[in-house]
Amino acid sequence: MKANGASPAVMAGRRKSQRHRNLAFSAMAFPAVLALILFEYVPLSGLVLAFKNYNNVDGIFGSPWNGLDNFKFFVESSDMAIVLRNTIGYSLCIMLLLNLLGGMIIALLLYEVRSRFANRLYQTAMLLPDFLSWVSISFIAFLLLNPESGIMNQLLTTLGLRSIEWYNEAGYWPFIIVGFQLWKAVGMSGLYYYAALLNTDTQLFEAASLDGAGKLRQIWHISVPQLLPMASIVLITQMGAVLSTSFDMFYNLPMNTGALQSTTNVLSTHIVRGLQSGQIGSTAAIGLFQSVVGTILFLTTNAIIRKLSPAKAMF
Amino acid sequence: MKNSKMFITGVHIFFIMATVVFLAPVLIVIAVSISNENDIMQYGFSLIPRSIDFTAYQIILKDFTVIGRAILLTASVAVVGTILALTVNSLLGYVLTKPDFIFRKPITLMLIGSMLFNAGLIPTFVINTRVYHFGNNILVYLLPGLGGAWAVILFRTFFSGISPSLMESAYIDGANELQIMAKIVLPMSKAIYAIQFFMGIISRWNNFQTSLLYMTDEKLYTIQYVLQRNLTDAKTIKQAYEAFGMMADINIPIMTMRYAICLIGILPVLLLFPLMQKFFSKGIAVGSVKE
Repeated sequence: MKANGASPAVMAGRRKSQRHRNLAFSAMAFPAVLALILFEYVPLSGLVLAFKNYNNVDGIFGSPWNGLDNFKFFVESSDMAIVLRNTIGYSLCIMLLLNLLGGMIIALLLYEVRSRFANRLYQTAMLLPDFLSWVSISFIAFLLLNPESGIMNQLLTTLGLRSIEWYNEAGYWPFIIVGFQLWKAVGMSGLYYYAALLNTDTQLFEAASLDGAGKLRQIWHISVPQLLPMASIVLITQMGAVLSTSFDMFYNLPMNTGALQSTTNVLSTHIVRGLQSGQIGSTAAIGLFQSVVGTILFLTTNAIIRKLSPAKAMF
Repeated sequence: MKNSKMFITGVHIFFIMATVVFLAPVLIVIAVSISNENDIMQYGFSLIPRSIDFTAYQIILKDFTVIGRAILLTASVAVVGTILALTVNSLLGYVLTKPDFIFRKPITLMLIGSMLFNAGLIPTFVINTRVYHFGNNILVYLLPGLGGAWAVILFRTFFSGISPSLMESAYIDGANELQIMAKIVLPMSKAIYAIQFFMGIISRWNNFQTSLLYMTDEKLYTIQYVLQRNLTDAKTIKQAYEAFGMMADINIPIMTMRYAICLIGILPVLLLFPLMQKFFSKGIAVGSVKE
């Protein structure tokens, strides 16, 4: 216990004031704990809505119970299969391309840029889109995809191809969505891995290059292993969020267009649209399913990683 | 040796191209906002405007109430909310570094619990509106995000890197915990406060969902919600200005106005961003420290 490295005389004095100290600590902890209780724990009581036929007059606790009816609707609804397919497909694809591969590749390449000026410049440029809201990014997408004046259709017609009604053809949207997600967040993802790379012992590279190892072999054998602890934390948290895709992106990027919903509707947008049309019970049931699956996936992934390599697990 | 030189050149070429891809869209937004509406209708969007035309900005500035109010509201809740959250979360992070704090274990468990499982949007929404009456209430922008587990743990991790003997000696000299925090911990933790402040401001400035869900009163819309309505519904712009009867006779440059408004929404980010650059490496290195 390094933190108690005080002399015995001080310790005796401290025991007397221990209660005062704990009182002070409790007072300092109080506001955050209160917020945690009010806004994280109290809302858990609202989960009863998943088992109720909610109406505004009777309220949360007065509305009649309806057993598992809300979940039945969720299994029988024809939209649900598509929504789940979209949610899981996008999540896994984005996890792989953005959170794992994209971030690692950016970090490995950035690590090779030794010029401080260039390194800074590249970092700054790559980070900028991550601080733009999805609403602003949907304006940017509209610049590219607007059927009349958009830049994509300008390019297509210059090349002699037919222009495309982007906001009417759902088939293109998986690429558009993954593309914009990469554009927005790959810089930040890369920077996290880059921070992990900075701890590498540079003597390893010198030794390897004396042994005749080329650049790529050095990267593979020295840098990549350095990234794995970060990658496993990313994997655990992202697996826990597989069903919790960004609402802002999936709502704003396709501009909430009905014609695109077959490829852009995911659980988060489905729930908000359900709420807007007043379906409290069934959307609460979907949300409960989302949370439970998330927690299970998070804990399972963590357990698997702990088994494979205990040091890389989160806990 | 030759190979590795080629490799480095390749890396630079990659990043230069990436830089263009990352920055060009923002430049096009600026270009379009100062373009002539007819040029855009005729030739489409482009990076270099055919002629410079500030009509969009003139119209927006002539009646700035709706956008100005949204900006003022969003900026105020961003600053107040972030400062509140920083204070509350760092205080908790600080006491969690104390091994002799009796509630350390239960509070840590509470934090982990909130990270593992959350109530989800619907229960939260119903509790927030029915129990806390947050519908059309400015408090919804400030309070629900206050107790953030990730932020608390980030602060705790950073603070536990500060030598305890420093705080101990101040304590023996008769300083109370708040004084220790203000005089010893705070000055040594500028990087983490700065990065958290910046991130907090940006995420609140960019918040769109809260207005969508909780607000029906236009006066309480945040800037992102106003922007979104301007993009998805051209009528919103027309109506807003025709309602005042001032612009009904001339053509309203909807496209350029959209992007002028969009730029106004991005501007604070563009201004804050370079200032914060130097804190990034430090702040993010903390984020990657394993728990």
